[in-house]
Amino acid sequence: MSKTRSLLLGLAVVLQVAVLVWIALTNQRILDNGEPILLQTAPVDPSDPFRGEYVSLNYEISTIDLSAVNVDEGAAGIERGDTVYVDLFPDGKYHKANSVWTEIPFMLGGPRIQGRVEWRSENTIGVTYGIEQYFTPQGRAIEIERSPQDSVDVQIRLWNGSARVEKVLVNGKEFVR
Amino acid sequence: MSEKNSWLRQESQSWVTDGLISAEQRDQIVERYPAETESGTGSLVPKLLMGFAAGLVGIGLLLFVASNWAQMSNVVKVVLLNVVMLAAYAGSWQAYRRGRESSGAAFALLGSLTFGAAIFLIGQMYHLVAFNANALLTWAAVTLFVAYLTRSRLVFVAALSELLAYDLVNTWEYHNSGWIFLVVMLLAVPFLRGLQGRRQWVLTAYMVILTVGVIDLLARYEAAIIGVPAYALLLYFIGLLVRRRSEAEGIWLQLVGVRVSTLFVLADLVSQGELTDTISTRVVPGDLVATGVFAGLYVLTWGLQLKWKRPHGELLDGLYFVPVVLTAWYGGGGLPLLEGLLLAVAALFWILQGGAMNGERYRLNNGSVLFGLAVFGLYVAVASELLQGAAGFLVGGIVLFAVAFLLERNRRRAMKGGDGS
Repeated sequence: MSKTRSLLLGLAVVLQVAVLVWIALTNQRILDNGEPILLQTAPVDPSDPFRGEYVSLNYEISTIDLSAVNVDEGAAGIERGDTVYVDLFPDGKYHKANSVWTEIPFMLGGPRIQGRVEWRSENTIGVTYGIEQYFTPQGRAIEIERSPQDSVDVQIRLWNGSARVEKVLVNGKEFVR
Repeated sequence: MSEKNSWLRQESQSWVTDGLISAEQRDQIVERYPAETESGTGSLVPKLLMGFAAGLVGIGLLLFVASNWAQMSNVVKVVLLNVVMLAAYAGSWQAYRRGRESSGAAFALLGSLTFGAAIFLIGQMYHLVAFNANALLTWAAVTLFVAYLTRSRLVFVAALSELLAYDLVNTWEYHNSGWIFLVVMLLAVPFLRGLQGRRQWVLTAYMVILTVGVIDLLARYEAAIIGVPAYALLLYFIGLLVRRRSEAEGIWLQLVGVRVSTLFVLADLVSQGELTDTISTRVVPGDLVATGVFAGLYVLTWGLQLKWKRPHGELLDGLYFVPVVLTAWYGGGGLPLLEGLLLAVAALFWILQGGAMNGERYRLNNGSVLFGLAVFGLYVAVASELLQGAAGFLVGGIVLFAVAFLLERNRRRAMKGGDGS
């Protein structure tokens, strides 16, 4: 192998390490610095061919009735694939949706989470926030799935609009993986 | 070596007994091939033990990591993944430096596979939800670059497979267009040229994956009915141009075009027109564009063949694409494919005749396979309409047997007097 090719191979390897470290760091930063938020959820259907077994999490804030929250002028034109910014407010121990913005608003609201519109039906939108999957060791996802209705909560970390799942709570106790 | 030595000792003793050589000569011969010594046997045992020990340590480490994976902190997991990847690449570099190409390629492949696995494992660690197939694209692009640097066919095919996975997930799960896939595939062309040695199977893998991606893209724009024959004709046309530089590579590319269109028609037949029906049941702008491209290429192909005074047999090749288009249109309109297949069989027969006239190996061999396939397709179409039960199998078997016999005889005759190109 020539010197140039050796150098380029070294560069390619450094690039790969950088990619992996970058993915890990950007996500770890959210977990380390994010504000803890508790969300109510209903877990459904596991499995992913590349990454293994997981629980699919459907939050209360995943479905938003636009007529029941504050919206900006762009809300009428919201379509599938659009980015929205959802302000949350504490309601008891959980956080719920308070406002839906199509552009980042200047005013300060509650904790703000960025999401992507997956569907729209008249005044209701379905939003995903990148926190809809929780991976578990093989054979353990079913434990969360079989938990009674309303017994599963998720604590996320929210930082600069991005959220990551920190832990899943079953009957108020952390699900240990 | 030791087995040869003991064989020599026994055999040479019988040579002395038979009087072929003297005892002194026998000793001299045996001395030339030393018997297994204590040191020789001794050096093998530690090697085996070391290999066994390395295997045990490896399995132990793997089991340790697997059983403690969930308990490890994210930082430890990321470091561990990087260490494994770096070790694989370091092994590859060392192997290449020592001239061990196969080991180098194997380690490079391990490194790139570890990189892909690490992306998905880190995604799992942070419970990331994917909104696109960019992780697969990043993995494939990196593997492609490693393939280029190592000139490894093995790593190159791995990169192609990852690209195919990206294209399928990107198109069918995330409903995005496949243009990026095509761009990366085009970027891979210089890498193909850099590969040395026997690369026919690598080229074939490349063309198969490229074709899947192209059909995916055409289906997305509802332009597959004429789009696929147009793509096949484009390959045929490029092959015509390549033949000016390399006759064998050009003919190979032309026949890939013929194969693509034949398989498309046969797949449509097997699915009873479902393929073209599902892709599009109406004429859409994409089809019209593809028809324009097809017509333009068709005129250009014939024009260049005439200008370059290609032999009569080769000119007939172009006719093959007419029935392919007709068949595709019939399929799209939900009409029987029988007429199109009849024309396809006739056109493929012309290709065979062209090959026989010029004694060309590629055209004859491939033409025989395609002609056989088309006849089989025609038989399926006819039998399903006219012949039921045992009669269908019996007649079909006899017809196919006769066709196979005639094709082989024709091929052998032609090859005897051909140029073997």
